[in-house]
Amino acid sequence: MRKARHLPNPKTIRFVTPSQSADPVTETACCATRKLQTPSSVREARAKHLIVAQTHPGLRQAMTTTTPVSALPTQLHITPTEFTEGIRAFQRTWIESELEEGGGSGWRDVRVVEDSYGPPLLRITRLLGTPLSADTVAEHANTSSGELYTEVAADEDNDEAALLRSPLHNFGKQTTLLYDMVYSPSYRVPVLYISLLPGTGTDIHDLLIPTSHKAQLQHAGGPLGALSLTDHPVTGLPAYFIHPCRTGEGMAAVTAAPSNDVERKAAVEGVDHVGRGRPVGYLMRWLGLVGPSVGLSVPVRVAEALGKLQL
Amino acid sequence: MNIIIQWQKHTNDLRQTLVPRISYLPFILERLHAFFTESLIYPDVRPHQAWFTYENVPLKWHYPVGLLHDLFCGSKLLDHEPHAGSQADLHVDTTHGGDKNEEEESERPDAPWKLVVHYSSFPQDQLIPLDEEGKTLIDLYTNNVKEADCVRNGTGKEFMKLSKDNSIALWRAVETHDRQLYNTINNKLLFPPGVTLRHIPIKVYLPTSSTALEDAPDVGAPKPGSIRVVQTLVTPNTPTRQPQTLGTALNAILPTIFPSRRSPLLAQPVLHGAVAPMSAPVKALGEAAAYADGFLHVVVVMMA
Repeated sequence: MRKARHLPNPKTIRFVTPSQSADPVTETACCATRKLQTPSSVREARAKHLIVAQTHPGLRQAMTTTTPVSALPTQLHITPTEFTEGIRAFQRTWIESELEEGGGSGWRDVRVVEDSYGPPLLRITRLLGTPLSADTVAEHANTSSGELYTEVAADEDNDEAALLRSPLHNFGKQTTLLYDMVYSPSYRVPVLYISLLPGTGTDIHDLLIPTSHKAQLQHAGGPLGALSLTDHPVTGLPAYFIHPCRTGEGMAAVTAAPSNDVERKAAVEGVDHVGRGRPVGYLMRWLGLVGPSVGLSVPVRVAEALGKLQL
Repeated sequence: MNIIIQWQKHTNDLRQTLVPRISYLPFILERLHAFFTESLIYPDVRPHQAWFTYENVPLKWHYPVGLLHDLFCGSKLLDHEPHAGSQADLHVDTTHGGDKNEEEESERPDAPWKLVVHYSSFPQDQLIPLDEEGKTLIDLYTNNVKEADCVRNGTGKEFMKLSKDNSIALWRAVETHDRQLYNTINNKLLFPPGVTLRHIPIKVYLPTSSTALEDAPDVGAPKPGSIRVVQTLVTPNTPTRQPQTLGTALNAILPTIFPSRRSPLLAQPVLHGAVAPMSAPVKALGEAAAYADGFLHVVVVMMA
């Protein structure tokens, strides 16, 4: 006889600076589960989750199901193999999308970084400051200031080098944000680490929090943990991260209920099963969960392309 | 077991303090601040703005002191004969001047550990800043306790079940080094009734000269000679239903460094200031030899 499952109450995530944190011991309250919210349709959720996740920090609409509460998994994990598969697909899709459209996704770089001691991680580089669209750059390419700049090239390395040579390098006073999606073997979910490229910015806190979220800073964490500082698991340097202790729950909440016996069995085991929660789908829902509050939204074009993959 | 940390204002004013291995450096900051207060260049600096280095390497203050010592002085253990029940806490260093004997003395694994404490230029790109009330330390400690709990039972529920009073008391016990209080609460996490132990919380520390991110287009990679924390899920028993030992676990996690499951050929595992036997069952280690945050922090020391 399975216990009734409780869904966390979705609120925006709580941001914690070392000097501003509320009594950290009460964080156990933040992790305490709460009662199920009013359900709404599964189909709606499926169609909307990307859009909802990208535009609404609160996830109320996305956390739904009509399946009886007792059949739902309380936490949804991903295996290292699935994670690896997912991030490789992600990188490939982004590169293809950039090539097709000639850049302009808003992300500077997306790459899978191999690791000798665990699954690879995905590093997304995002530039903040005045965006340099391919058009703007091309416009200035032939000005009298004479700096050579080619159109945004397909080759990322040349692109980067050219950008640095260009006078436009300082045009927008760009800050480089690094988002690392790293697999946590302890929690069996991805974890997002955010750091600044050294020397390119000041307070990461101001940069990360979209203005619309600032007002909600003080609330206790919802389906996500708080944003705080820790050691980056690969570099060992300080980085912000969203604590993964509630990611499993959050993922269960934004994933549609099992619709057949195979999926139901997998759901009971707490595994996001291929067929319903394929790796890319899992990662997209995860990004929808943790990304928006730290300024990481999947470019629509890339999201669409990923959605088309049977992964 | 305790570690002696030594510091001095001038050659004639050498002080030492005993710091338990399972505690944390910030616990001595107030005392240090009081000691150094007249000598401070910036008199307004607060105790929490201090930071430590050993041989010019900034020390991560959220690592237990014993782990830091194993990391930086672990190689000394391999150079000296291991003493059973080494009495590090009884050794007192009274020499001051430079002297051949002192150099030999300082090479002993149980020699007082000389750290440099700094009160300016906090390296924000390498160390997480401390806060006045000490909440950052509690946060990081609690993160580890939660993680250890999740590793053990797969859900992290046992920690969530702890009452607020118990969580506060757990930290209080670490701060005041109250073993009894600590064990009372920690046992709820270690031995929850009716819950199977899935994995043993263990972190392995590897000195490394390179890192995966060095080739990525950024400068966010650590310097060579840094430490990599390796974590994998370690089960209490091997796939062949034998009790998992430190040797079998290390062989599984780091096969190139521990090619043999029984004998250390290229490196030794160091735990709590001693070379840990490869035959030790990890389940027992996890119960008896974990640090205050529930993890076994094992340092890999390469053999010469």
